[in-house]
Amino acid sequence: MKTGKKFARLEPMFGSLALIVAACFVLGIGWGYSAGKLTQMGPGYFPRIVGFALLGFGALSLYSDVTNPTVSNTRFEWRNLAFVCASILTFAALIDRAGLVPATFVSVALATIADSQNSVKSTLIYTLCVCLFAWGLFIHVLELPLSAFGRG
Amino acid sequence: MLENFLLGLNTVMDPSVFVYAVVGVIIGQLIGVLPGIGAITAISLLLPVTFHLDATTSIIMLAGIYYGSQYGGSIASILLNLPGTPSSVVTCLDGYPMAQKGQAGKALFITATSSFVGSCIGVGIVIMAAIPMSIFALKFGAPEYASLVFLGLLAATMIATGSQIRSLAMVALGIFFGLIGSDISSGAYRFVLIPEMADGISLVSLAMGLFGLGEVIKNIGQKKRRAIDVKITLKDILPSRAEAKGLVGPLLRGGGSGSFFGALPGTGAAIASFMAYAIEKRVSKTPEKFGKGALAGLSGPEAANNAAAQTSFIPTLTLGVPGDAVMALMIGALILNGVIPGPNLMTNEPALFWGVIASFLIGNIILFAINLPLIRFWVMLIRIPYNKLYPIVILMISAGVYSHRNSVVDVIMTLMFGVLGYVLRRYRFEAAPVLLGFVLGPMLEENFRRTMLLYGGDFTVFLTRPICAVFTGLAALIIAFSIFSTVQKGKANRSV
Amino acid sequence: MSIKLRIALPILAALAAPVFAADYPEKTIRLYHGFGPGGNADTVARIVAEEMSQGLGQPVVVESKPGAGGTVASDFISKADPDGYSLQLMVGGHSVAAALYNELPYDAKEDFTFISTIGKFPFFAATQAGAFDDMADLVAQAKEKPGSIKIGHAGVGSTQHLSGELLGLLSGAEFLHIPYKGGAAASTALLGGEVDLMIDAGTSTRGQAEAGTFDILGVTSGERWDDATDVPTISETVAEGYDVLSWTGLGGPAGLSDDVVATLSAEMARVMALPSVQEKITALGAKPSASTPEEFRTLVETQIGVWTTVVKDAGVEKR
Repeated sequence: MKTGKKFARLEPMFGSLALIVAACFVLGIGWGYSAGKLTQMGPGYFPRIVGFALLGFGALSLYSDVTNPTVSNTRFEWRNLAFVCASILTFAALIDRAGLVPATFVSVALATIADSQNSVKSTLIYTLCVCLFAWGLFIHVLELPLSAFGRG
Repeated sequence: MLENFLLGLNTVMDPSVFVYAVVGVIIGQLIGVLPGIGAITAISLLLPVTFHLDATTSIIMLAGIYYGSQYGGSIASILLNLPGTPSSVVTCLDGYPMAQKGQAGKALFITATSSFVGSCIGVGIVIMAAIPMSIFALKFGAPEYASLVFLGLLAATMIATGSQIRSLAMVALGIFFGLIGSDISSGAYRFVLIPEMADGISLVSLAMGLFGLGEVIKNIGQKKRRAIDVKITLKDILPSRAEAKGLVGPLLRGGGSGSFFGALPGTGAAIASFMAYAIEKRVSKTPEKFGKGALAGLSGPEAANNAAAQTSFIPTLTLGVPGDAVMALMIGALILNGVIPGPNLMTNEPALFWGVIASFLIGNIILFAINLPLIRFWVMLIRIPYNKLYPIVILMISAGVYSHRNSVVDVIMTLMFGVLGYVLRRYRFEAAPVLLGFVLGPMLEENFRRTMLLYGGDFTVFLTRPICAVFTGLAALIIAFSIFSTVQKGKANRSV
Repeated sequence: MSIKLRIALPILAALAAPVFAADYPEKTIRLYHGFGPGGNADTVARIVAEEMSQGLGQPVVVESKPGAGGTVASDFISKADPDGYSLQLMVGGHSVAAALYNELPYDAKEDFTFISTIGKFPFFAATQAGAFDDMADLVAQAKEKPGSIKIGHAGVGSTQHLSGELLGLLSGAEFLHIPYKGGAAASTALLGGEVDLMIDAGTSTRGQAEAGTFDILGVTSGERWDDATDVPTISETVAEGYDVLSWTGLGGPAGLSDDVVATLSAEMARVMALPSVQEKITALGAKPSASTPEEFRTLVETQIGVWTTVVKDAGVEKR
């Protein structure tokens, strides 16, 4: 219970905290690049500036989060996030190896399941229709350099 | 001049050329509607076709694809918050809220009209002032670009609706994304964690992820039906007389500023529309409406990016130097046809030069004519229930991003930016400044570093060069104003 | 062995041979290059790909993998399957990169199969019209005030950049080298007067010279160039021994089978003999020149030697 409460209190600050982490990442890696001098700037000059800017603005927005905490009233859509990730990752995994149509099929099916309103039967019919549409549009109308089935 | 223009019209009206002009704009329009499949992809795909055409016809067709795609780009932004190009990111800002309020038809009508008016202003400037504009553009060296881009970054904070600190943080984040990849000035790799990142982050990935995908993640399974246009009568689509009157200013300002930015090699439509948005928000009497469906916020930038699309041909056609990758493709097509582009193009190939310019006018009329009736069709698309629409949107994003440069890594990056976009919104950070930082950051770095190299680290160039001085002055004004208003706000808060 | 079989075998072999050759290519060939669309490499790739698609009976698709002077594409190709479906349109930058980078993720000689050169072209030294009398004048001014003459180039580590460094090295003058994002941006800078000199391909310099905006002071080839015989060589004016020729060529990952190399080599010989291709390559400012795989390899190896010396002597920072 207690940890839950603590989480709720810290939650509004996550965004700004993430920015500060990102700033540390930029500075940490960017420090490895040579900064050069003003007339002959090295690749590390701007990353340092950007890193400090990110750190500064992140800290300022953290301050405003602390003084004026605002929690988003919508809940975090874990289910949507998970299925969208699954859908796009399978597309990425299949497009090179299996071709456009299989990638489309699995990806669209996974995306459709994200919405619990969709039934199995309608999902199947719908997915097949989308595959046909994608095949027609990308392969035949646009003639993109993709293969419908198998490796390109 | 009129005589030349008539020569151009004559060239375009030749049926064998006219057909390709029409084909070009229609393909461009279609490609533009499909987010992610940008003008470059379309032009690269069609480049082999031009091997069999003469130079004039090739350029007219390729140009049609380019500015046609500028028209189409707004449609997915308005209906689905899905921008395929950085300039359509600006269209999302006020276009999408309008669609959510059930005014998609009106938004599309205003977009089509603004695009048309903007293009006409751009074409007019190309016809009347191509040469002076190109001479002016040559006055822009590294210090001018550096100060202009700096001004643009400041304008980014005006685009956001929320706190300035937060939007500045987002600009910095965007600049960081822009730094990833190989450094132009030294060739060194920066933040390249896997070899596929060496080319840097794809703009399409970033835009479609932050905007389109973030929106999808938020909306799936929402019981609340989206507001739809119940009837699509002409009355619902047309703006009221008062609204129309209010659009004259944004259109002229957008068309004018867009023409200016377009003519500078290396800036282009994206900066034009961001700047136009900032200008409109600044001059508006109701800036609080921006981001919630302000007509001026839709119309001004739309006019600007289309005007820029036309004037970006100025350096290419009058100087023979391409301003961006799309223009480089056009030059490539010219060279292949034995036409060496250069300052002599206008005198050596008047039929080509003026034919291309006249085709802009014809092409825009065709685009306007096909877009108006299509509004009905697009609005009907929104009636598709969201649970049937979003899987297609996800597919369009994956396939569009993939086809952009055949990279699986880009698809995965898009997903990461989608998640980021969703999370950012939850913590009241806006995505538009990220995009602007991403586009402008590397330009600022490149030009600032070059300025320092050229002038031996002398900062006074930013004040002594007249054009620089103007931009530096404007930037100083913006900073002073925002400090002033913050202080004012602080006082007001304390007194309450 | 029965008579039937004895007759059948050669027939089978005869049948089998074309079947083998016809095996490749049986699907789309991807022709990669390391530069943006519309650039020289892209255009050459498209010209060749168009004809190869017809000759080989399979689509040859041009794909751009830009980044770090083309090394991103070279890295990609060096690690691609040596099945002949991933090829590279190589440019002179391949040898430059080998000299410039401390640690390339590939070996510029051993990780590649070199099939045939396509075109060879020199660069031209261009200035704003009327800015200098000739090469000697420019070099004299540079010597008088070291670092006052600015050379704009298409990017750090580009052949254009190193050509500028070589000019400084051989002429003994000190220049300030300013990197731009590609040759077009450098041209714009020269037009606007931000830099004094650019050394770049004929496509970006000669059109301007014809219009009278640029003066062409010299050509980088060791001997005067065929279709620009009035332009003196840099070697005969200010920098003896100056000889820079860039090239385009077709290559692939190491370990391509002899059959594939033979098929591609024959196809290239056919394509390069086509008048339409020769015409287009010439329009791009290059001399169409097909070669054998061996000649191509020798060219690359010699150039790597030259550029390694330039990088070392000019003190260009390696990466």
